Amino acid sequence: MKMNPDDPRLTAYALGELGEAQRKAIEAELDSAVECRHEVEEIARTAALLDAALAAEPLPGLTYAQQLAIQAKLKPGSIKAETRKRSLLTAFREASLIGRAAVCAAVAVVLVALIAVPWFAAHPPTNPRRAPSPIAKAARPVQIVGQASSPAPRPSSPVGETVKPVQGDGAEDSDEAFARWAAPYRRLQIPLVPLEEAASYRPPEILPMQTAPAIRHGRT
Amino acid sequence: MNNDCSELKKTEWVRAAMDRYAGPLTRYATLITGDRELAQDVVQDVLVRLCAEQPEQVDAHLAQWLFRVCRNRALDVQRKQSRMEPLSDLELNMQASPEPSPATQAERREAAGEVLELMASLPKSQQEVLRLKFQNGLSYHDISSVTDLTVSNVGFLIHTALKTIRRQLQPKPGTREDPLRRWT
Repeated sequence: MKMNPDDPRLTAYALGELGEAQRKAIEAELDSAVECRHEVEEIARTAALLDAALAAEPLPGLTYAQQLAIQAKLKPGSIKAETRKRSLLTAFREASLIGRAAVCAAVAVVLVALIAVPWFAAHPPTNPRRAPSPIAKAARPVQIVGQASSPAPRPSSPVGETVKPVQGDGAEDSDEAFARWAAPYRRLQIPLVPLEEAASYRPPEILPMQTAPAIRHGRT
Repeated sequence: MNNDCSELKKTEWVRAAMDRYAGPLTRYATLITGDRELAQDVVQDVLVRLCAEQPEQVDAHLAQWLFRVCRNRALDVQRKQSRMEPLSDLELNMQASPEPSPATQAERREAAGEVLELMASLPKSQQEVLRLKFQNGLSYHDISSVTDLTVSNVGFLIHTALKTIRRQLQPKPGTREDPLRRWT
């Protein structure tokens, strides 16, 4: 079969793109096709022309800032790799006296932090001791009006927490401690009556609410 | 220690790729985007992506990988630009113009000579494969994987482009000199 001079295989052959078998087949055909041989020569010449023309084109590049941006992506790794070449010990030996002192101080701070943080986590600070209720040993037991009177009332703190009096505490009988204990009741306007008067205590009469006078609009 | 070595090796590998391919990739991306600065941005992006790759996985087909990523990225950028500037000069520059302006013609002659001027008049797909083949030394197979064309298609485009250039460089009637002989 006669080969067509316009066959793309000729271009592929001229550009060295064919495999061994295909190349041999084309060469066999070219032996008997003068026109195709001429075509291959022309293709090779045009290719050389293009090679030369394209090689002469100016080669653009990246800006310096862009090159730096790319290198910055590599920097953490490269710095890490380069700095590790020098051992820490060597760096410490080469440092000045102030530098060494700073390193020691930093190491000490880190060590203290490493020890202190777990210790505080394991031993949280305890609650501060509450002031004892003065009622337990008060000379004048007090009855809170409205509560059932019991033969031996065990007073509790306003928040309902039983507090044991502390023996030997000089503040336990003081008026100041009593005032502190009674303050919440007074804030709520609950009268505190001595125990012996509790039976005869009469609460103040609650008067019915008066209606508010009508407000007159307009001139007076 | 092994980690350090591999990191250092990778750094050198990327730097070598940047030295070797930044220029060709910028030229290739300029062909697609039609804008040098956009092309530079594209190439920067490509090389940043290369930093995330493992050398042993890419090195065997580094040129292919770079040109392929560059092409895809440049096409993305060009599409975005086209949306923003539907009838800009950029669009016109991308198309083969049958009659470029005299100023453009003179500029092209000065910059790249007659052959490049002829090349610029070819369809874009032919220009692309010619540049990949003759400017960047990629094989038909490499060009096929970069452009998603079949190897036969690549061969046909190159064949047609060379034939067109050759025909236009033939000595015109009345002239003795054959431009092909002049160049070779």
